[in-house]
Amino acid sequence: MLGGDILVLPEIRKGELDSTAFGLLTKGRELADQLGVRLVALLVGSRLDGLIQSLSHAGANTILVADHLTLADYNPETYFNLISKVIDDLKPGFLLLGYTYWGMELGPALAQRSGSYMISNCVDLEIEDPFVRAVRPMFAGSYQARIESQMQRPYVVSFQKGALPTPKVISGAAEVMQVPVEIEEASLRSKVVEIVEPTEGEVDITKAEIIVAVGRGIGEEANIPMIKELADALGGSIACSRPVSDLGWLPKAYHVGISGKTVAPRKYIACAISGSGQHVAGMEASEMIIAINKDAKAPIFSVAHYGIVGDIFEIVPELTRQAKLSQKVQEQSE
Amino acid sequence: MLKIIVCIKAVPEYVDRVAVLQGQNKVKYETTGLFMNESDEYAVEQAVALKKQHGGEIAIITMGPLASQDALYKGLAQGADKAIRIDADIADPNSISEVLAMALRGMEYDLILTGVESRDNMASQVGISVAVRLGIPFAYAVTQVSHGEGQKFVRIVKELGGGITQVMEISVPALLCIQSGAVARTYISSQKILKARSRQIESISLEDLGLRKEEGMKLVDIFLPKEKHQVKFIQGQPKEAAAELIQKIRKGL
Repeated sequence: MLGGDILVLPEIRKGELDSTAFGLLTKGRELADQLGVRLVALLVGSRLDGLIQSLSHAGANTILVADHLTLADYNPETYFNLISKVIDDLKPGFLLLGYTYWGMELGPALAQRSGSYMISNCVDLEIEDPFVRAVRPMFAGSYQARIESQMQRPYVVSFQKGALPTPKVISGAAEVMQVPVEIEEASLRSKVVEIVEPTEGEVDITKAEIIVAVGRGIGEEANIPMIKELADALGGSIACSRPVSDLGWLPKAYHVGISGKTVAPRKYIACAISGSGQHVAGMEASEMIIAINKDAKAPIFSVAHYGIVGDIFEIVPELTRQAKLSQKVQEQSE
Repeated sequence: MLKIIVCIKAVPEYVDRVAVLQGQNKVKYETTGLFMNESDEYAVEQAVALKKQHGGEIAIITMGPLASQDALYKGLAQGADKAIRIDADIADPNSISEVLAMALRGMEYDLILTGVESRDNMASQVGISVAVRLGIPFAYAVTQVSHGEGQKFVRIVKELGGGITQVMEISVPALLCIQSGAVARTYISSQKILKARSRQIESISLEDLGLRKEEGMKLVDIFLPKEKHQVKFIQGQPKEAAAELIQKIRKGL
């Protein structure tokens, strides 16, 4: 059965829209036009006027606004209760959100509560009534699977950041409607104590022009200096994927990925990084991506411009040697 | 005393010769064996750390084929007291959460811990979905858990992405999806694992739970990811390959 609006949930983190917000609205617009339904965005937070403004030409017919002081800090429980109520009233056909921590927390909860079927971590979505088809990663991103579903609407769908279309500006402005906010604080079982922003480390890797990043394939902590030496020789910064900072081999300030830093240097050299979606989301906007990995099937090669299939312990020292050499030649000619 | 249940999944590390098994809605592949999913392993470590502080009991539960038992033995070696396997092979995260929630309803718990995402299916749905089915509060991407004696809540730190974290107090019983790296993993000797292999694993069937296999999605096909850019592989010996790469790196800077 067709019908039901498309509802988009843009994520707001610390008063700012997550970068998935505009892409989700553009994707939502495409689907709404295809199905002949309306596109509705729901903004939840506090002091949202500026954000409403920036979303007014992003594709939605209507922006629903739940603006309340108690919603200033994200609390999964209050947001879940409030959005569930909006879903009950609106009865959307699809609910779209980002495959971010926010979407990973709220998406399955909202789907379960509203009796929806959820398709998460999508890189592609097609609707051909009564079928919904999606492409999503499997096996740490080494493969992608196409799945098909014909469940009763609504569907909850979460999209990978990099899979969303380039945002488009729409001429007509969205109408804005307030949603009543009632929060029974006494019945809440979750309380936000505080939200902590990252303390900036000594270096800010987001400013580096060249990043040499290292993954778990480095094997042990003793091998990290080999990567650092290459970064130094190239005049760049070292960085790492999540497992390396989890193991304490590099400080968290160097971690690139959904849970760490998002970087877009001129050159990104990924050494022994398999390229999980978590990591790729933090670096895929880099101008040139070079991957060195011994596994030719590593998903990192699907985002790389240049690749070497080989052993980093052979290639990295050679790169360092030649980088130092070319640096000397440059200095001499100056 | 804390009663903790950890939901874990056994997953393959590397897979080869991957194809959809038509009519059975599952992927067949070749692999070297099934291992405990990484973030689930941290969830078990977190449970063990809490038990050390407060005393209590840890049960680990999985849903999967017989080969999944290896992951349960690992969990027992890590310090779990009891292991349960639901004998079913289901890929749909919604159905998995239904099966797990049904089994958990018959058990006692203060905390249910899960990982954040499985290496094979990568859906990040089952944990939170189970919490909502059970009607208990939840938190995703948890990196720290502490519990004060006699308190009716746990204090947690969770990630919001981009390096931002959130400190919360959540009443128990609650379900927490534990992030990789939450606690240091302890080394498990092969002797310990060998010893764990002699322990009993309780097995229950879907029929025991009054359920049958139902899935809301059909697996159509599986393939290698489309390349974003046509990756150009640089061939040759390390020396030549490195020379070509240095050129690419230096160009345009």
